[in-house]
Amino acid sequence: MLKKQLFKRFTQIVIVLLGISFMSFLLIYLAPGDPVRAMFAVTGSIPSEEAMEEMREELGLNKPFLVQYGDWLSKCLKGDFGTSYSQGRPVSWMLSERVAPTLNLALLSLVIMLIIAIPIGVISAIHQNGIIDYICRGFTFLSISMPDFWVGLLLLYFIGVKLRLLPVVSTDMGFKKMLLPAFTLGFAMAGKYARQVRGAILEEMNQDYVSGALARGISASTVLWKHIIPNAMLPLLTMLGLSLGSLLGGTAVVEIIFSYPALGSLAISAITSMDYPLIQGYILWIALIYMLVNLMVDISYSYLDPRLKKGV
Amino acid sequence: MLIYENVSIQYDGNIALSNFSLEIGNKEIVALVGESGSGKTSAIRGTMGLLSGKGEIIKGNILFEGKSLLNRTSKQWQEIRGRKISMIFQDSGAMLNPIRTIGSQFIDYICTHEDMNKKDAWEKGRLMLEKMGLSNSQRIMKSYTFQLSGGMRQRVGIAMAMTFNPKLLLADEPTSALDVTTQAQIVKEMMDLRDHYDTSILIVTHNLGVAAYMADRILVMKDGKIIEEGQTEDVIRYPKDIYTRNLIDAVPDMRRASYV
Repeated sequence: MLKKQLFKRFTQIVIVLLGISFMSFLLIYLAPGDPVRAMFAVTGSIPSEEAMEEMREELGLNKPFLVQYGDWLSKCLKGDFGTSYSQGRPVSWMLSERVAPTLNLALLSLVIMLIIAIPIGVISAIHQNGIIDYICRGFTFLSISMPDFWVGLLLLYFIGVKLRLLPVVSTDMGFKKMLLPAFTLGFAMAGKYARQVRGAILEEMNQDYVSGALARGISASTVLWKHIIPNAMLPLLTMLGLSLGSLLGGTAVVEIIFSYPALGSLAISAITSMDYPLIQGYILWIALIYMLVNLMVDISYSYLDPRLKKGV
Repeated sequence: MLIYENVSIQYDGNIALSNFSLEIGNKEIVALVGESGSGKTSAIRGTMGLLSGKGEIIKGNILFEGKSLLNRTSKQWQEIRGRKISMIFQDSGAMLNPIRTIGSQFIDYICTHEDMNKKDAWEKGRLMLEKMGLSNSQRIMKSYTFQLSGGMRQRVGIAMAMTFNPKLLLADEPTSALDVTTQAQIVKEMMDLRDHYDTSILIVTHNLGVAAYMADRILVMKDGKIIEEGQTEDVIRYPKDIYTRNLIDAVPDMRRASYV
């Protein structure tokens, strides 16, 4: 990708981030509820009206909307995303300590998903409409229709409690501790991907270059591995980017089931406690990560698909 | 050398080719002429065991050098495909993987049929390209198909097809994707193949001009059947069937000497 294009993309990212921050700030501002009341509710005390007013003053919540936004933005540009109302710690710390667990869980679950989905999709396509294909399609149906919290609970019960193979609570990033939540997420995605892989392989099988390679005497298995599968994987990259983006935004349900400390559960608690700075920071993170992952996908396309590299 | 005995091909119950019989001798060029859907492409794809979709040979036999080409194992096919019988297509570029270089696929092809290291295979491929009049062979080897013009792609396809000096070349509409000038060049180059490599050619085309110029014999096909066959000269000058006559009339200047 050209430097010029990269520069353009980064400019776009900045503009979109500004827009998103403004929109989300506005929506939170308009949302019903009182963060100050919520803050005190956490402590269990019922403060006087004056104390609450004082608190609003301190947090700048009584200033006009645009001033509030301006204050927040200028601090953001200095790297200060504010202080969490509910925990009194800097938002940037709270987010960043959850980024690594989120990233690890996301990547591991994607790897598990690919390990399940690619073979199933490929086998299914090769045996199109045969018994094996029907079995594989049955699996994808199961994977798509089983909700992830249920899969998580089943795994917890059988593998964690009954068989005692893996830990039940995944409070940190040990590989073993991540396996169950990652498998839960990977399994839920695998069905959708297996279907995509099957479809893509079937489509590639009908391409002329397959007949061409066979006519040159190249064996069917070589054609499959060297030609069909690489070509079929290209369109999956876009989907993988979207999945990675959504995984990096956190996977609240699974995180809560396994008590795994990633971004999803943090976001849920931020919303329930009306922790404006934290919500705001989280939204920015999601927007940023989606755009960066998208950019990464585009860049990798230009390396993997020569037709794009040469600008055709 | 290649004999079709009453071959019938169907796709999902629909007959595409019925009772097709033909014998091609050494160094002979035979053309199958007809409009699309006349079964001519099925005939040559069936020869290579490459019928698309649900196509199958339901009757008859195809013999190459005395042995049947039906029910071959993939190992047995490997001795034939790309070695004894080669095939070129309407767009040879589309017959190559778009995301791999021509060179890498040329190497794969050569190494499939010959025990050779990659460097020698590259050199062998490059020389084949040069023999087909592609002077910047080094660059072409490093290119992807979409970077070449239609004529160059077709020459690459022919160069690949001739690598192992095949006994028979099956050509499926090899000129119809090209402009007229390039068409004429490719046709001449294919004619030269017979002299240089002693190769027989079975060419499928809807272009009677190309067929008349190249072929020793012409078979006119319609709706999966042969409706007229004979020496090129006879078919062109004294067509028996009305359909053939219409085809001839459709080609400008067909009755004059310049066929292409």
